[in-house]
Amino acid sequence: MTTSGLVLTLAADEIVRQRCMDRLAAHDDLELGPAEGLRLPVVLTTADAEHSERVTRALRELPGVDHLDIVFVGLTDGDGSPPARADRAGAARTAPSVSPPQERTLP
Amino acid sequence: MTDAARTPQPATGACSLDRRSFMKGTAMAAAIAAARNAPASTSSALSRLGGVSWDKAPCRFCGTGCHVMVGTAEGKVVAVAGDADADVNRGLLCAKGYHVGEIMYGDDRLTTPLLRKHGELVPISWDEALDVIADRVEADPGGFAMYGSGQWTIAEGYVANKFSKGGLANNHIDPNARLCMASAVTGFLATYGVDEPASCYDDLEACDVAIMWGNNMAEAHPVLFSRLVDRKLRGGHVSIIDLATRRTRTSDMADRYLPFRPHTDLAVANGIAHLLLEQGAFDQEFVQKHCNFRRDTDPMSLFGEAMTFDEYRTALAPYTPEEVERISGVHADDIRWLASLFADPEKRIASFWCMGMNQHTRGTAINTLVHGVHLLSGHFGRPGDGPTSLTGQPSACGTVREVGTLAHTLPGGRLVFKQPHREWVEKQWNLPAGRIHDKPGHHTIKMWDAFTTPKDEGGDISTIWVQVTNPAQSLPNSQKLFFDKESAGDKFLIVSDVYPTVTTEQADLVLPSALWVEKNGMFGNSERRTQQWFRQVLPPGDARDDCWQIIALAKRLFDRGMPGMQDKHGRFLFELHDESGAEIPAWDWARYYDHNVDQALFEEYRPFTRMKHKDLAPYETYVNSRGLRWPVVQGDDGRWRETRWRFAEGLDPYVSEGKGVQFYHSVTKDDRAQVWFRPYERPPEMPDSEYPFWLCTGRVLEQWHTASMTGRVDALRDAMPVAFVEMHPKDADVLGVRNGDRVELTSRRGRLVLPAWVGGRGQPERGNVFVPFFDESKLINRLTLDETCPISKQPDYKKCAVALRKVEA
Repeated sequence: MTTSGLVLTLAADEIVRQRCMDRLAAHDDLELGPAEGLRLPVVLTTADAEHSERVTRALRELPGVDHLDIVFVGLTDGDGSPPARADRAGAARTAPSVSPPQERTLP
Repeated sequence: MTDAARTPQPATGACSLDRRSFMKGTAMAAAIAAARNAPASTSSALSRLGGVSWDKAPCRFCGTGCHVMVGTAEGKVVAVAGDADADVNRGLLCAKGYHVGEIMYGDDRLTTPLLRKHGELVPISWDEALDVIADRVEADPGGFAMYGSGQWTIAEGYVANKFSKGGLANNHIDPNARLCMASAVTGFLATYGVDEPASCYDDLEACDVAIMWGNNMAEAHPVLFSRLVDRKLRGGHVSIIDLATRRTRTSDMADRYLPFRPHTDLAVANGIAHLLLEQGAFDQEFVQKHCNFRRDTDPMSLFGEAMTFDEYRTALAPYTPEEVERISGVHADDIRWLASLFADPEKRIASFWCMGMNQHTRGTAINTLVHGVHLLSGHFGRPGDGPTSLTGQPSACGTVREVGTLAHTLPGGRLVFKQPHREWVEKQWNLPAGRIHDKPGHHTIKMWDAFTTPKDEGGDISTIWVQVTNPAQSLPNSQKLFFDKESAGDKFLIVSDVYPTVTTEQADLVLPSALWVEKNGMFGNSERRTQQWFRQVLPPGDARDDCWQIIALAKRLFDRGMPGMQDKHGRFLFELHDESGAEIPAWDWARYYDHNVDQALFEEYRPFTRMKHKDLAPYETYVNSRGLRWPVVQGDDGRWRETRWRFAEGLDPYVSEGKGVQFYHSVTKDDRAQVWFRPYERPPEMPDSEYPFWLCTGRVLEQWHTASMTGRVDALRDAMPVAFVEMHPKDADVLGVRNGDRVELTSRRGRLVLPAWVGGRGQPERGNVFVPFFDESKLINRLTLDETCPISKQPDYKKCAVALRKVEA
């Protein structure tokens, strides 16, 4: 289980911002806090760190999100251990992903 | 004496549902507090997370010096939060900092010493390991070198320096920082007579204009960039100008992106200076009161020779906007516009740079020219108005530049080739007169060249002990400077590290090290901020502190009777005492944390810091702060106060009343800074018909340095798993290359096949390609150039010539 505290800075354009808020509110992994002006506190809870990173990257690219700051990360899995890591050979042999996604949809 | 380690518990236990709920609540509370800019709320939220202990630590990665709050439970790091009480990051972290707690938990941590026997690395005891090293030292003390980095803590660097210069007395110690910021050092010294920035990060909020001189701050120092972006997003008036050879995330947020041809930043700086003079728009009062003029001698030297103002003006005359455009590609009108910014005394202009200006065969020159533009225009000495270099490693300043782990330096800015300096240090260290050698040791490039060259061909380094860095991946022209060790005869490589790396694969002896909050430590960041943290968890297996490793070796040599490990009274070189006067057995791992060895070493080091007005406060002061920027001076009320801006009256306690601005370490002894003329000159290697592209190397957001730590974090590795070659779309079209195609890069030194990334995150200008160096399976430094700046001896990783060829499937 990975729990992250995020602060999203949303677009000044009200229509774009509201569309963005609607999409964020519909996302199962996110819990939205009370907005402070354009700054929106958000908690992201995912099964693992990889999923957390994918969602975070997608959030950065989401229309209406001008900026994303990470302020807290809980690292434990469900059993209390830090997530298991692949070894270095695994790191080196990971298939190239030469185009980190520019996707506009949340996973 | 302060808590040695607060006795961390062995790793055990499970995470209860309650804690998960608490974790979620804490995450929300921290986010709300950050959104409201209410740090006290964050601290309060963290304290409510049951069963988790929190303590501060600076981030392990870059030179920004963000503070994180580290949450530990049952002997493990279980949570990380941005430290809302920290001035540097104000609760924010970047993608790497966010995962810093995971770097300790890779499956392949090194946990026992390993000695190469019959070609295989086999486990041995620490006792045997120390004997092996001691044998190598005794066999050739003059040929034993230490190679570290700006990742050494202050105590580690101090001990390594004392061991090499006060013990072995050969001065063969140098850090990876030589590859990182040596040109910034020589730039500051040549200009102000003392190293490190006069300004600080507060300029990010105080400036009207932020100029990035070849500096991709958005990816290399993201939290600092967030501070600028935050201002813009809140409607603040700050212009970001990105002078670069490649469009990056920094360019995307910049108001102006001004691309220039590689190496021509000198022409741009000279063009600005020329216009300031031609238009009479320079700050005449500031220049008359506070500046001298200087130029190079032949051969070049750090301090060159004096020139008159008229000679300076004449030297700049060729740098008309049109000529600068011809050299650099920056439009003449843009040069005029840049000059007009500096000509405006009302604007506050902050310049920032890092590797773009430092990793440059004219590195010292461009550093001094940027200082010169600020001095000439009087944009200096006010909040928001000054030049600030950034560092790539967490303690490049605190350890390398202040402790003096370069081959020619001693702690406190003392120099090995100056007799009074040696004598003073010998007195501080209680050494016999004449112990410290007067000849600088080998700088990084020379050290590794001497290591990979057979002894009978002049290769006088027989053993190198590497700590906290990964030279096989980070040295330029690495076949020549590293991998040729194999054919160089009796050479022995010792590597202390936390994970296997390309360097440990070639090592003869591997030593397992403690990492980050597995040990006590202190760092010094880019803005002169000294930071402290305590050990919070135990290292795995038999991993031990790098500091202990050196002290234990010194004790082994002392016990064998090596004179260099004795002071002038025959006592151990690293004899430390606690507050009661009892000796601290720092060489004994079982008792190492019975006392705070870091504190004892820091207090031994602290008197050195006053030699160049870089005063540090007592250790306890740092325990109770999120770092303080030196000089830290005690007021009449007994409080220790930091200094944000140096050399300006009212801001720097060492500036005399009535002086306004005072460069009190002036090389001309007249309280003036030096404005240099340095011409643009062609680089040593340029694209030609055989190698038609420029190659630039650098970092990416998700991986830090050679990724030996961030590569163990799934999320970061998945986000950026492999190196690539970034190309301009039109160059890709000409070569028939599409996104993802394999492309072979060839330089005069090596070749490498990489996947192409076209139209991705960054975009080099036409005729340029970019490759990050983090990937241990794609060693781009087999291709790079080992030519250096003649003054700083820092190599140029940003420019060499390569050929490209699409590799057919």
